[in-house]
Amino acid sequence: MTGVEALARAVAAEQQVIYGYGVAGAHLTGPLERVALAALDVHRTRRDRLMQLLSAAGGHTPVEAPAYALPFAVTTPSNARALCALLEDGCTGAAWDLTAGTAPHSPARSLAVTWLGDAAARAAQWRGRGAAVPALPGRP
Amino acid sequence: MGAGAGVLGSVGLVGCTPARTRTVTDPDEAALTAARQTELTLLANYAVADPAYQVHLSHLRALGGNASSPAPTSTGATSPREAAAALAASIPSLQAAAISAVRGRNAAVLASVAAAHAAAGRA
Repeated sequence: MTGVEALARAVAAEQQVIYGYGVAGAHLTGPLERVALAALDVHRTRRDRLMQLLSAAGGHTPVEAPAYALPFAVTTPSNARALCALLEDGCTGAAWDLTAGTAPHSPARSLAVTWLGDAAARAAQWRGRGAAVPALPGRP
Repeated sequence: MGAGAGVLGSVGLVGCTPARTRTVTDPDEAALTAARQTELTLLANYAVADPAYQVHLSHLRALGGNASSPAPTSTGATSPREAAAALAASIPSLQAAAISAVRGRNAAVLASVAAAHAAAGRA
């Protein structure tokens, strides 16, 4: 996967994650809703930065769909949390590819490394204390 | 790359270098060595039966470490707070190594190990 392909995949991943957080957030209240909203802000900012990097690299931004298929119906706070964890898992995969596909010391590499750590930590947070953490987040 | 391609590659090398052994150096070897040392230090913080021990053993192997490297007598004498602090302290250097790594796969593994350490702090 080239750096441009990895950037395009990363943008597409964030587009889906932003959609997913919108769905999940509607089923969360109180502190969890605030956590979801904060995460949504982080993902929007990252998507915008990824789009800038993709454009600078000569790539084209993937077309955002009006809606995305979810892996399961989100109807309760519990499965809303599960969806958020899965969304972050998806980010770790895209961040792995972006890390592997970019040049050392490049802005995209730096973003990817930070993104991988952030997504893995957020996935663990959504799963809650005591849940198993993947040994190598994002590894194919 | 499939298994067949790997076998053909080996035959080619033997034919080309009959008189001396060529050493292929990983450009990220110094960073990988430092990361393995970090994992060995972290491993010593956990008892062998602790699930975290197996996680760090996985990291050690992913970084090219030998499964027999960790001390088999690890007792996990460090307090959980000290272990958590050591884990958190490892993240910046692993991420810096990932940003600098020449080979993409090395960069991804280093970043993923750092990510696992960050996630363990939240789990």
